[in-house]
This record gives sequence, C-alpha cells and structure tokens, in this order.
Amino acid sequence: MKSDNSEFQVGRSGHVSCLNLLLGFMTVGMIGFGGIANALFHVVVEKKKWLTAEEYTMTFGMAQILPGAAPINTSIMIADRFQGLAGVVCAIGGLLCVPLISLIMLALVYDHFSDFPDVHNGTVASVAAAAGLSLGTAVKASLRVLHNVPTILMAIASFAAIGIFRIPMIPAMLALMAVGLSISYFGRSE
Amino acid sequence: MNIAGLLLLAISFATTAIVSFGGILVMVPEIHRQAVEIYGWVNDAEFASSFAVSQMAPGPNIMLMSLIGWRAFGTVGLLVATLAIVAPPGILAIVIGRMEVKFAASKYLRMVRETLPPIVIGLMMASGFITAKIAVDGFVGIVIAAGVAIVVAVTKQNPLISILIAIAVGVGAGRLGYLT
Repeated sequence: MKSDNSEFQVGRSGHVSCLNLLLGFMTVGMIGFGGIANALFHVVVEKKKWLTAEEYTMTFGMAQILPGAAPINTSIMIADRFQGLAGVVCAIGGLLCVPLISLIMLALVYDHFSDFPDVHNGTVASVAAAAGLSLGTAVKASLRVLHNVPTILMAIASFAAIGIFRIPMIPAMLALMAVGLSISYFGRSE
Repeated sequence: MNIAGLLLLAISFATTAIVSFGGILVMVPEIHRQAVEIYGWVNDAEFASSFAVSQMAPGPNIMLMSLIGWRAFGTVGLLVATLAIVAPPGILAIVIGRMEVKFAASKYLRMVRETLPPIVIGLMMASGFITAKIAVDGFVGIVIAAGVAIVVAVTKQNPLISILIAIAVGVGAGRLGYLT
C-alpha cells in the first residue's frame, strides 16, 4: 500500500507512563456513556494529545476489522505502543474499574426497584429503543454498503442465519466469510 | 465456587468475543442464545434488564456480558466474563498492532475489509430483530423501536438522547395504562 513506514509510527514507546495511561483511560470509562468511542477520541486526541487524529483514525480503523469491541481494541493497541503489556493492564484496568462498579450499583438499584411499574416500563422502553438503534444503524449503513446484488444477498444471508435460524455464530461467520471471500475473489478475476 | 460453570461461561464468552466482528452489540443474538437458551444463566426478563442497565452505565457495551456473569456467578463471574470478552480479541489486537505495517499492506486484509460490511449489516439487523423480540410486546414498544430506528437512520443525533426520550415515553405510556 501507499503508506510508508514513517507515516505509520503511531505514538512513541515510553512516551506516556503507565500511571498516565491508567488515569487517562479511567477518564474515558467515566465519561463514556452509550459506548466509549467518542470519549476515547476526546481523551486520547483532544485532551491528552497522545496521538494525532490521523494516528488515532489509523489505529481505530485497524481495530475495527478485528473481532471484539473496536474502542477496547484501540485502547489496547495504544497502551501496548506506549508501555507494552504493563501498559495494557493499566489502561484496561483504568478503563473498566469505574464502569464495572457503577454497573453493579445500577444493577442493585434496579433489582431493588424492579417491582415498580415505572422502572419496568422504562426498562422495556429502553430495550425497545436499543432494538430500534440497531435497526436504524443497519439501515443507515445499508445505503452506504449494499451497492450490488451480491452484497445485498450477503446481508440477507447473515440476517437469516443469525436472526431467524439462530445458527451458532462461529460456523455462521466462517461460512459467510468463505462465501463473501470467494465472491470477491472470483468476482475480481472475471 | 462453581468451577465448571465458570469455565463454561469463560469458554462461551471467549468464543463469542473472538468472532465478534462489528462489535459486541451485533452479538446480542448469540449472547442471548447461549446465556438464555442454552445455559440458562439468566432468563428473558433478566437478559432484557441486564441489557438496559449495561446501556445506562458509563463504559463500554461489553458490560452486558459482565453483568450476565455477575447475575450467574457473582463477583467472580463478573471478572471472568469481562476477562473472557476482552482478552481474546485483545491479544489478537496486540499481535496485529505490533506487525501493523506489514499486515496493512497485505491483500488478505483488504479482501476481509471488503467482505465484512454486508455481513455486519445482516448481523446488526439480526441484533435489532432479536432484541425487539425480547422486549417489544404491544403497540407502544413497536412505536418506540420504529421511532428510534427512523431517528437514527435519518439524523446524526446522539443515540443516547433517543434512548432517554424512549424511556420517558415508556414510563409515560405506562402511567396512562398503555404498557403492561
């Protein structure tokens, strides 16, 4: 590809200490409501200036095609760049400690009040909203991604496999990737 | 301590995590299949409330699985579940991150990058569908899900605002006697 190695130098080793990683990622966890992607960019690029926007985007793009939550993988890659495995432990520990504690406190509060109709209705409504969020995001992305018949068929096949037939994720993903890769392989050679 | 149960939880979540292309939210159908349908760590109502609580708490979306771990096995379950989700993709991220330059140039990666998006869209649809099946019964739920879907599809508004409005609508509709 075009990008030469000097351009790909994301962060410098040792540039940010473990303590700073811990505190920085703790901030990300505390302010990241509804997912941490925006908070991560804000802290790493805008506030702490650990990476430039380009470096961040490149790392995030790489994390996105890996399995797992992209913001967490991005955090791990950034921390590893600065302080190796110790940095990863500090960053993930910092990132998750406050959210996990708040999670359990919220769950306990929820359990205590779950008999109240308002709490029950609010919960059902928020899950319905989350369903709408997934569907809306999928529709929005469809307009960008599904530009020919094979891509539309792939999307339908993956929806049916997981949503309708409830096929376990690993065989479903392997089969879908195999079909998708052969389509793009043979599609290109024609 | 239920070692066998914890081990199953770890294996289940770790294998889900390692194929979770497109993020954890598109894995909701798979998490539900394993946690509710196969292993019975939580029931449908607990799954729905865990989903809601994990969205309300600050932090990453993977905490749905942390909370399921906690509901099934307490604090140890919380930690095992969280580690099982974070570590397998995390190790891969470290390996790939360290060899990024060579890897980014590879033809394989470009093909994977081109192949994944339609699959992820299907997974997102499935996630919305299964989540709706868990939570939505009745008119108000359909209106909320459809309303949020439309707002998200046509605007760039922060989704958290839609969710907060949806909660207000749900509580209000309940007070008026529309939701059971």
